[in-house]
Amino acid sequence: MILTQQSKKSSDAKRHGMVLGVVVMIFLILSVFFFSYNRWVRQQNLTAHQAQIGSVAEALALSGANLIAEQMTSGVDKMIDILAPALKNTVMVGDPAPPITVTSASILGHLKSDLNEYFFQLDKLVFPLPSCKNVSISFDQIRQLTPSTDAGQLQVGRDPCEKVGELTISCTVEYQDLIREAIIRRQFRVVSMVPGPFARFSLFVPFTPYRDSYNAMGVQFNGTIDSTYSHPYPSGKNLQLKAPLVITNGLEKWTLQTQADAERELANRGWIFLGPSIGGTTQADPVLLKIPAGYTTPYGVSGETGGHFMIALPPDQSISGQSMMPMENITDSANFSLNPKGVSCAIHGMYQGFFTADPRNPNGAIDYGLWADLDDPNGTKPRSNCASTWLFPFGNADNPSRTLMIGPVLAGILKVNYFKDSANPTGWAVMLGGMMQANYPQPSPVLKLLQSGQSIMFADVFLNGFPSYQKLLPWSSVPHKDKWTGTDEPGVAFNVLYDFMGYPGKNTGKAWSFPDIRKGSLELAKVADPSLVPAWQTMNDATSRIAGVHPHENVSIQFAANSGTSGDDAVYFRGNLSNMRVALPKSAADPTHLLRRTTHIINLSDFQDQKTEDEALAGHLFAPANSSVNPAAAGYLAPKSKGIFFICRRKNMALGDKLRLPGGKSGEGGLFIDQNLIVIVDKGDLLIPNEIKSNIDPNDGTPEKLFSLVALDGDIYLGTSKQIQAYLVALKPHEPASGNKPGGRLLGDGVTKMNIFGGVAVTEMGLYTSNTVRTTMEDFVEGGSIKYNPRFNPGSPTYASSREFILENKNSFVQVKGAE
Amino acid sequence: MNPRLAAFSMVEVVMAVFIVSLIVLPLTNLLISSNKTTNYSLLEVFAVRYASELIEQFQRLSPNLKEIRLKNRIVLKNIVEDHGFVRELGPKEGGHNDSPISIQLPSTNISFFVSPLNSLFVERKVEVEPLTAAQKILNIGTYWNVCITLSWKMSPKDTVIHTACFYSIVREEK
Repeated sequence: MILTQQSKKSSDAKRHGMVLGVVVMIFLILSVFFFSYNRWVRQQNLTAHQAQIGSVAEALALSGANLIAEQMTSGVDKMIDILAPALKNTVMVGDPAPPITVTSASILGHLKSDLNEYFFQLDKLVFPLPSCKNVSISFDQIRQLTPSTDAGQLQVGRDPCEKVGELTISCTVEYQDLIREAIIRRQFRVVSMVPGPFARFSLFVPFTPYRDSYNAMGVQFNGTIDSTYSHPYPSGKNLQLKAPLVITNGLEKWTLQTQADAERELANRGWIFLGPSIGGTTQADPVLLKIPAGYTTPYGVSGETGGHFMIALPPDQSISGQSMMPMENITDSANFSLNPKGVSCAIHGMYQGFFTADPRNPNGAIDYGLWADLDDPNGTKPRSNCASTWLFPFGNADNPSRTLMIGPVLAGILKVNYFKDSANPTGWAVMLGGMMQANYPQPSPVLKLLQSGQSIMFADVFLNGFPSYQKLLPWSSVPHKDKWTGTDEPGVAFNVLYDFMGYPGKNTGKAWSFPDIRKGSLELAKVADPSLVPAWQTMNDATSRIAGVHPHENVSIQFAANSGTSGDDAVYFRGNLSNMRVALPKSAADPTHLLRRTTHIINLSDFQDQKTEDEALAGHLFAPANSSVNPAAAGYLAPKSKGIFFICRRKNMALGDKLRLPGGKSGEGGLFIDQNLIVIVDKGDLLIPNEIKSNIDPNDGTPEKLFSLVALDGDIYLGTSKQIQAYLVALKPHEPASGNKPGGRLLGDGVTKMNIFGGVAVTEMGLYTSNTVRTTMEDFVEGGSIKYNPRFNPGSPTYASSREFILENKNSFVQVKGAE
Repeated sequence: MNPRLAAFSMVEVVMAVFIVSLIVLPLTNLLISSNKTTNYSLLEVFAVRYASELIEQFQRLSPNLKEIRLKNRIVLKNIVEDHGFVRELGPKEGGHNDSPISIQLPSTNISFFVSPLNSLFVERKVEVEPLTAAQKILNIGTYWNVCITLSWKMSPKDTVIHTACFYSIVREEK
C-alpha cells in the first residue's frame, strides 16, 4: 500500500513534467518556424533591396556602354580613329581576321573618367556614388566586304579596306558594393563614301550617240553665243543652245611652277570619260569636241563667254590673257624669207576654234573657204559643221581646267597662218588663204602691207615655191568621218591640248610646258605613274594610236601611291569603262558589291502613292538641320545619319513617277549635308527639287561632306538651277535593242541650267540626230557647270578619309551580369 | 478515479497560458512585421520593374532626340515635363487596370508603353536634367540625367510614403 501510494505520487509528478515538456517543445518548434520565416523574409527583403541597388548599377553600366557606342555612331565623332585606326586604313585578311582589342590604358582611362564625371552628377543617389570600374572595347568577326580580286570584282570596283564585323563594349559599374557589368554587341561596317570607280571622273558618260553629238552650239567669232543659230539635229527641233556646260576638274588653288607641282595637282583632278560613238562606220567611232572660238570676256570678270582659241587679226595675246595655245612663231629660214624686201615682217601660226558667225561672214568659219574638211562632199557648206561643242571639258576662259580625257575623244580645231609687222604688235596682220598648186602665182603680189604700201611677191616669201607655201596652208584637225579606224588616222587627241598644258597669263603666272600639237604631248611620257595616267605608254605610242588618245578598254584606277596597299589591293578598278555598271546582283555569283556595301535599307514598297512615298523617304532620311552648329543650315534639312541607304520603291510605281527628295516646297529649304551619305534608289526616277549644300572647307574650297545620289534604273531630274553639291549617278545600261527605255540620264524638271559641285556619271548626255530620245543637252540649253569635288577621288592621297565606320542602330546583343 | 488527480490545477493552467503568451505574442508581432517587410519587398520589386521598362525606352529614344529637338523645338526635359506625359505616367484613379498604358510623347509620333501602377503606388515621376559635359572623349552632344522616382505606401491607410530613385543617362546628338 505504501508502495502503491509512493508510486502514485511519482506518477503525478511525471505527468506534470510531461505537460511542461510538451509546452516547451511546442515553443521550440514555433520558434524554429518563426525564426526561419523571419530569416527568409529578411533574405527576400535584402534581395529586393539589392535588386533596387543592382538596378541602378545595371542601368548605369548599360548607359555607359550605350553612350560609348552612340558617340561612335555620331556623324561628327572621330573616336574610332583613336580607338582602332587600322579598321579604316588597313587591309585585314582572314575569315575572320584577327580581332582588335583596344588596349590603350590612356583611352580606356579617359572613357572611365568621363563616365565617372557623369555618374558623380547623379545627385539623388546615396554615398558611395556609383563609379565605373572598367571599360573594354573590342572588334571581332572582321571580314572583308570584297575579298575576291578576280576580274569580275575589279570591274565593279573594290576597296580592300571595306569590312564588316562586330563591336563589343563592356562597362562595369559599382554602386553600394554591388557590381554590374553590361556587355553590348553591334555589327559595324567600314565603307567608303565614294560611290564607285566612276567617281574618279568629273564627268563619266560611256555612251555617245554619234561623233558630233556635243557639237551643236552656235558661237560667234568672239566667243559669244550666236543667237541666230539653231541646230538641225535632232531633226525638227530647231535646238538653240544658249550656253555651254562647263566642267571644272579640280581645285584652282595650285601654283604650277614645276612638273612636280603639276603631278601633285593632277592627283586631285577629276578625269573625264566620253565613251565612243556608234553612228559611224565602225563600232567605236571617235567623239569630236569642236573647240569654240572666242576671246570676249577678260579674265576675272564673271559671266565670261569666250572660248580659248583665236582667229585672224589677233593680238599677241587674247584680251583675257588666257590663250591656251600660244602663237606659233615660224622661224624656218629654209622655207621662208622672214624679212622680205626689207619689211619688218614675221610669220605666225594661230590655232583657233570654231564659229558659226563673225562680223563679215554670217555662216562663220565655213564662209572663209579655208577649211575643206568642213564642206560636205557635194560641195555645200552646212553651217552646222562649224557649230562648237556645248560640253566644255576644259573649263573656260575665266577658269581653264586641265583634265585627263579617257576615250576616243578628238579636239576639233582650225589653224591659219598670217603675216604681221614684227616691230609693231598691234599693227597690221594678214591671213594666208588656201590655194591649189595650179593657182600658185609666183610672180603675183600676195600681200600689200598696209602701212608700207609695199607689195610682196610670193617668191619674196616662200623660198621653195609651192612646197614652202604648202606648209602654211590652213588646216582643220577634224578627221574625215569615213576614215577613222582608231589607230593612226588624222586627228588631234583632246589630251594633247588639255591634259598637261601650262596656262600662260594671269592664272598661274608661269607657263611650264606647251605640247607639240603635231606629235602629241611630250608631257604625257613624263608622267610614268599609272595612278595619274593609267595608259601613259599607250598614249604616247604613235604607231598604235593617235598620240594622246587614252584607251578606255582596259583602264586601271589605282589608289594613291602612299595608301599602303600593293598588288591588286592597290587597284580600285580594272576593266573596260564602257562596261562599268551600278546594278543589283543578278545571281549569287554576281560580284556586284552594291548591297554588301549598303548599311541601311529603307523599304517603301507598301506605300500606295507618290506623295506618301515621298514623305516616308523624307522622314526616314532627313530632319531639320541644326542651325546652332551650322548657321548656314538654318531652314534646311540634314541627314539623320551617315551611311549607304538603299531605297526600295513602292510596288505600284508607274512609269514617270519620280521619287522626290525633300526640300523645295513652299517654305522649305534644300538639303544641308553635314554627314557623308549615299542614297541609292532601286528603280524609277529621282527628282532633286532644291539646293543641296554642305560646309565649304576654307582650305580648299570644296564641300566637306560627300553626298551621292544613285538612280539604278532611272533618270535623275534636276528641279533647280541652284547648286547641287553631290555626285549624281544614273548608269542604267544603254539598251538600243529595247527601244532605249528611259534611264541613265540627267534631265531637267522645268530648269534649263545645271549647277553641280561633285560630279556626274550618266549613261548618255549627247544629242541624237533623230528626235525620239530626250537628252541632257536638249533639256539644259543654258548649260551650266559641273565642278569636281576631289574628295570623291579614289586616287587622291586623302581617299582613306572617305571611309566611314558605321554602327548598327541597335544592340544585337545585351547582357548584364554580376562582376567581381 | 479521483477527479483531483485527473485534472490540472488552475494555477498550472494560468502559468501555462502565461508562459505561452510570453512567447507567442512576440512571435506574432514578428510574423506581422515579416509580412509587412514582405509587402515592402514586393512593392520594391514592382518599383524596379516600373523603372526598368522606362529606362529601356529612354535608352531607345536617345537616337531620336536630335530630330525631335530640331523638328519640334523641344528637348527631352520638355517632353517629360509635359502635363499629359506626367498625368499618364502617374497613378490612375478608379481602380486597377492590367492593360499597358500607351503614352504618346508630346509633338512626336513616338509612344512609350508602361505598366499600370499597383494601387499602392502614389507616384511615378521622371525628371531630366542636362549633365555637365565630360572632359576627355565622351563630350559630343548633350548628356541627360534621367531620374525615375517611384513612391508607394504599404497600405491604403498608411501615412508613410516610401520612395526609390533609378537613373539612366541618355545622349542627344548635337
